Amino acid sequence: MKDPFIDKELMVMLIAKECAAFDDPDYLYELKLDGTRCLAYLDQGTQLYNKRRFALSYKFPELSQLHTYVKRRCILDGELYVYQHQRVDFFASQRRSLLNDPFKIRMAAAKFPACFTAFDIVYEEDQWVNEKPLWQRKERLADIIIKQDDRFNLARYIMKDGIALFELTQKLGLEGIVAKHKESRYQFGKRTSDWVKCKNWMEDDFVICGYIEKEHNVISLVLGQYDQDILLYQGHVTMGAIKALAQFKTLPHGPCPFLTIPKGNEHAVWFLPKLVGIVSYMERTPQGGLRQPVLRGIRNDKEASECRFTGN
Amino acid sequence: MAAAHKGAISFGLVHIPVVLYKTTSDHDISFNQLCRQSMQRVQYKKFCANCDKELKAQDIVKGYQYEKDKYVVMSQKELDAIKSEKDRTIHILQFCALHDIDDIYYEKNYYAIPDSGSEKAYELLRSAMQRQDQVAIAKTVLGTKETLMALCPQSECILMKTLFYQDEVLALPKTFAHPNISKDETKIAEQLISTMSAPFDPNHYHDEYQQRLMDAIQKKIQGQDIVSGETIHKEDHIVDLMDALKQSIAMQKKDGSQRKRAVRH
Repeated sequence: MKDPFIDKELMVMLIAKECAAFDDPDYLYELKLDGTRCLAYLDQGTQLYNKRRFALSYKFPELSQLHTYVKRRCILDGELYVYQHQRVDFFASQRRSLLNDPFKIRMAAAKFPACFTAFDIVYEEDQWVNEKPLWQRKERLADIIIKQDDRFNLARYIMKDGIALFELTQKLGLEGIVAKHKESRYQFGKRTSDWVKCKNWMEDDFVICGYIEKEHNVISLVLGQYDQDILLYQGHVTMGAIKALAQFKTLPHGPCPFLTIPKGNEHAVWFLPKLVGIVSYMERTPQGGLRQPVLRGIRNDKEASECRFTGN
Repeated sequence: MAAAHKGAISFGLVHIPVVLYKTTSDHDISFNQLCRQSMQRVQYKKFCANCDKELKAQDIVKGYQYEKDKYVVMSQKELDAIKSEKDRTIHILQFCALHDIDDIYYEKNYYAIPDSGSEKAYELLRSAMQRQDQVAIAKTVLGTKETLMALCPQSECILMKTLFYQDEVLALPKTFAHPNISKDETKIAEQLISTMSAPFDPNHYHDEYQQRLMDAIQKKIQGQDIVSGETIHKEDHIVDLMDALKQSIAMQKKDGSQRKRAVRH
């Protein structure tokens, strides 16, 4: 087989399913770090590529020396993220990946330096190791690493006790955990259920204030919550929005219930704010919306005015 | 990086969807104009001095000045009627040797990357052109402009070089004398050239004014950033956090097994 360093065309193995945390002696568990999944090609230099094979190295100059942390030429799989003030700041790494100006990149690297945590190895020296079982790859990975610090380190894992680890991540406000079958092979570009994620979701009740139509008959619901008497705009939910469709016919239309029409909602259809939906999400975005929101259902036992904004 | 354009190379019966990306980025520092007093951004307003009023988009039409103070007005409808039809196909018109194209015709470069699924046809075209030392001359519509281009095979990808049309290229604006040079003079000049000759390493050259400007700005920002007094907590290192979690699970386990043993006794 061709040397993978020539074309750098490998694709990361993906997680096929999400479920509640579980204990299983055949699985090992590690933290789900909330950043950008990427492959690190380490030889005389460091080259990072995201899961869509876009080059990331020039956006993360503080990670240009990762090859000095390993004994031999290798390809590692891991997560690139920003950890500061005892939390993983997803938005900091996301903002960075949108930068192109080297000067802005340099400043962001000084202020929000990123970290690469390696959790797998697929190629070592001139050998493919992806067909070896995960526990063996973990041993090889630990062996190849010379030093660790805030720029580069090895993912810790535990055996069997997934629930306990998940509960700890809940307490600390981390994204969740990933459970991996200890015998699993590394399958490039495949979505497999050998790897399972267990995520911490936030859940809250929101007033459904209206909807906007998008392409391909997709609709997004406009969400709000009350702060005293004022209805605050809380962004959109698209996933699961179909669950609210049946209620639409009975809802009286009205003017925009917010003080001003939030940007991007100029063509929204507005309801009188009566309908309450349960939405789960990862976290609130700096722009005042929700990250990865999903409408779980409609509540008939709660008044819209009871949907209070708490900022969580 | 954001795609600059999406299209498809049409080559005989083969259709190769590609995405174009920029090959360079202009990152010279640019400043915003601010009001000295309020520090707010200066806004531009369109204004007609004759009517003494601000103009909105609907108050403005397009005119071509064909003589001083004389304009012919073209309506949007008239312009739309003659606009190039939006054509995302990159039509290959001919092949030629790269050295057939004079350097003066090159305008901009784009990386052409195959869209997923078209890698094989793309690779076939790239490698065949490379083996025959040929480039493709093609035409497409970029934005609203009918663009002529050369598709040049590189070792990793196809580089798309947009070309000026011949009528855009200006001739040498002025003639000048070409005096005779003696052999000795030529020899001296050639010697000087060979002593200064070295492989070109673009990494050696930087815009030093831009660097001084960036340093000066960075210094100012760092001065303005209030240095917070908070000390780094131990848990501010992700390695420590991961170890702490692992340890605390081990502790729980130990507690649990001790409890079990205690029950058994």
